[in-house]
Parts: sequence; structure tokens; C-alpha cells
Amino acid sequence: MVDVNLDWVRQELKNQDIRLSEEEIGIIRDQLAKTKTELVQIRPVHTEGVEPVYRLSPPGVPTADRPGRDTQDEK
Amino acid sequence: MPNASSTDLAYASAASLSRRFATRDLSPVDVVEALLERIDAHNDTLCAYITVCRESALAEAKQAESDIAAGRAKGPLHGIPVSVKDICWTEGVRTTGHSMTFFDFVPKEDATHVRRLKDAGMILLGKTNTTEFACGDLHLFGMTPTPWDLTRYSGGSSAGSANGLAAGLCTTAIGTDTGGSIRCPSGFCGITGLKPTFGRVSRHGVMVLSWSMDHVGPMARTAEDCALVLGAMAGWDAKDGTSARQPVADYLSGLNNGVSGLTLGIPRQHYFEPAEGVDPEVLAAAEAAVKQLEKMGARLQPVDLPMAGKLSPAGNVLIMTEAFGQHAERLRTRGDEYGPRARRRMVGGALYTSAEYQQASQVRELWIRDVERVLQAVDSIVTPTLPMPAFPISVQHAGPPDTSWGTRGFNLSGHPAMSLPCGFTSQGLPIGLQIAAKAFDEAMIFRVAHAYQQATDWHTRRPSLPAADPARN
Repeated sequence: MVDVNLDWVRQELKNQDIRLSEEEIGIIRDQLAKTKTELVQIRPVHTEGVEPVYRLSPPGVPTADRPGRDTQDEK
Repeated sequence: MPNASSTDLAYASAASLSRRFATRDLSPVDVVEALLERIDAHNDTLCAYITVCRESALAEAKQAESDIAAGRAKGPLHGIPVSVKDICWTEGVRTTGHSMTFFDFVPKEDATHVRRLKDAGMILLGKTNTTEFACGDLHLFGMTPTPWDLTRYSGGSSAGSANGLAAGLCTTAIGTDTGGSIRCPSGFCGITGLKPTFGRVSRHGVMVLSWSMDHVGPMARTAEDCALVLGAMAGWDAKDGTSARQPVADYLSGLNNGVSGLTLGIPRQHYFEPAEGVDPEVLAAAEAAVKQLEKMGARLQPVDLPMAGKLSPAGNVLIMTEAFGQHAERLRTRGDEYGPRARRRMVGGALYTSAEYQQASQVRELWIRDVERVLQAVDSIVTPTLPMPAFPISVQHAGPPDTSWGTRGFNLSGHPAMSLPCGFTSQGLPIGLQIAAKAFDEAMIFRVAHAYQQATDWHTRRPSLPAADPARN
């Protein structure tokens, strides 16, 4: 299980100017630990060296044809 | 006067109503009145609608009646009611997102898809209930049960669109789907709902949860009706930078081509594997549906999607990181007005690292490759929609199981996918079948689903609502 430090969660939320109760901070910490652990478990097997998709486009569409704002259309 | 009971009108398909409007056998006014009657009888129980557009819907129905009579019909959807999820902007009609922070928000314009449906002559019947911002609780406007068992949850987040359709409170509806929010409630309520290809339907005017995973799509009781509605709402939109330029297909032309000669991919891993939390009755119904399609002439081909069971953390990281990005300022200034579930989930998104977001994006890329590879060899992929039937509302309150088990993959990949009913459990709860296809090949999904619905009657069954329902059957 990935250890998500409760003090780190508190500090990060404070940095973001987010105010929550201690109970909610604890619930969020537990959920983060679960998801981060699941993510770590698939890392070495599957994702090493894979180029990530940041700008999602319709699958199967060549990059050049992927949609996006067309300045011509906005004129 | 119509020669059918008001319940039959409320449950009639858009396609059948359209044919009757054209021959003037029936008026849109009759249909809207029948739906309003059922809304009056059942909305307190089902909480399907947040806002009912009673006067404007009746006025629009009268206008449609006279337009059609005067030969000015706009097309097959003219005079057909549509109910829209309450995260989609509707000009002059309150759009809450089921949030205190938008409690009195009245948009000055329609979402692009709503505008297109109105241009096609559809009548806005009302705004349907949703979980808060499509990811939280139903704490302001009531819990939405499935009409098949009022102690069980409808599923979300397009909750009111789904339970309203199942109960005959709307003819067609609009939902949105970020991890399964059209398909999951469709499965729990026994109706038909499509998440189109990413980019197929504009998202301008839809409250954002996750910019890379949100989709807008049609919900109805038949695949044919979904095809009709998608045809009117799809297409490129200059106001949505992610909308696609691909031409919109004629979704009706191939509807009756049947499944003979088609190859359907059956991913045994994950989707058809017995496992903890996967109801055997769901698997049995999906297996039976697949066999039915084979009997109708489809060829079944086992396919391999090894990442299918590993998508949950990637989906969670992407959705919640993006949701926090969207809601950050509002959470800082009005966070105490959010319900606890939405607040916790979104705030959690602030605490994933860039490395984790990158890894989730890598998982998405690998998954897209997998799905694309499989779809080069088959026409469609068929799976159960959900691992379980509708569960008790108390379970939803306490902390629900993973309902996106079968659906999130096609949000990550962007491929189109539909849920349609394929059976019932021994307790009388509907079971959903999911059909996915190549990007922008929604026509293939409609073809397979329509063929299945011509051969089965699961989609025609109606729940038995409480005794106050004059149309109980």
C-alpha cells in the first residue's frame, strides 16, 4: 500500500486554500492511498516507455486530422 | 382523440409517434399531456425531474401540431418530447447541476446539442435529475430509485433520464457519460443509452466534469430512437474545440441490415469472468444475448483485451484531476456548499502528482491501442454493461461498488458504446448488454442493437409502479 501521509494531505490542501474537516481529510487520504497503490501496481509491467495521451482525440483519427480549434473557423 | 391509453402514449417510441404525427392520427399535445400526467403521478416517488417545463412544453406541442398540419414538419423529431440532464444548459430554464452553487442559474443560451434538438422540432419537457456535477450525491432534489424496485438505486449520474424513461415519464432523454453515466443507469433501469464517439457530439454548454472523458449522448427505450436523436444532435461545433469534423452518418439507413455476416468480438477476460462482485445472473444473461446474436447470423470471435481489468486507477486519476482543475476556484470559495461526495472526490484530484497523471495517460494510450487492434478484426465488441443489477439505495449511501467496471474503458478510449436491456434477474431487475464499435461507427451499434431488439422483447417490458399509477400493468 502506498503510504499517503496525513500531514502531507493537510499541507497540500492548505497550500490550495481548501478547507475541510479532519474526517474528510482522512477519507480523502484513504481513497488516495487506494488509487495510488493500484496505479503503482500496473506501472512496471505495462507503461514503461509508452508515450502518454495528453490531448485526447477521437480514436482512430490520424493526428493531423484530430479536432481542435481552427483559427480559420473562428474568424 | 388518440385511440390508445395515455400510458401507451407515454411509453410509445419516438419513431412510432413520428409516424402517427405525420398521418395526423395523433397530436404532440396528446403525448405531452400523457407524459405530464405520469410525471404528476410518479415524480414525487422517482425524483426523475428537477424542473418540468409544463407550460412551454404544451405551447410547443400546440405549435408543432399546427406546423405539422400545415405541412411544415421539420423532420421525424418534430413534436417529439426530450428531457435533458440538468447539467446541460437550456436557455431560460434553470440548470442546477444538482448543486447549491448553481441553484438559481438560468442559462442565456442552449447547449449546442440542445439547440440542435430544438431546431429539429423537439419539445423540451424538463430537466432530469443528476448526481451533483455528475459525480456526487443526490442530496438536493431527491434520490432516484429504479422503477423496477423502489428500494434500489437507478444508477447515475444520468439518473432521472434513465428512471424517467423506464417509468414512462419521457419519450427520449439526454445524458452525459464520463465513466458510464449514460450506460450504467440505462443498465439498472432497463432502457437503451448510447455514449457516442469522443468528439461526435458537442459539449459546449455542458457543465464540465472531465474534459477528456465527458461525452453527451441519447437515451431512449429503443436503439432506433437513439439513432434518430443522435442524428439530430451530432456534428462539428466551432464552440467545442474537441468536436470532430467527420460527417454525420445516416444512422437509420442501415438499421434493418441485421447481424448476419457480422463478426462480434467477445472479450472473455474481465468482462465474462466469474469474480467477486460479478453477479452470475448478469453473466448468464449476457452469454444468452451473445448466443442469440449468433443464432441470428453473427459470427462470434474471442478477443483479447488484457488491460480491461486495470483501468480503474487510470480513470479515477484522470477524471478527478481534471474535475479539480475545473472546480478549484469554486471549491476554494464555496466548498461548503458542495455535497460531501463531490467535494471529497474533486478535492482528492488536487493530490495526484504530475507523474501519476502521466502514467494514467500512458495506460489510456495502451488501452486505446488494444481496443483499436481488436476492432480491426471485428465489427463490434459485446460485453455486459455492469457486473451487478441495481443495488439497494442504502448501499449507494454507504459507498457504492465499482459500477464503471464495464463502461469506463470506452470513456478512456473514446469509442462509442451502448447499453441495452438483455434480460432480468430472478428478482426482476434489468440486466444491460454493452455493444461497442469503431470510432464514429455508431451506425454499427445501432444495427446490432436494433436487430437484437427486433428479436427480443426485453426493451418493451414495463415496471409495475405503485397503485396510484392508473396505468399499472
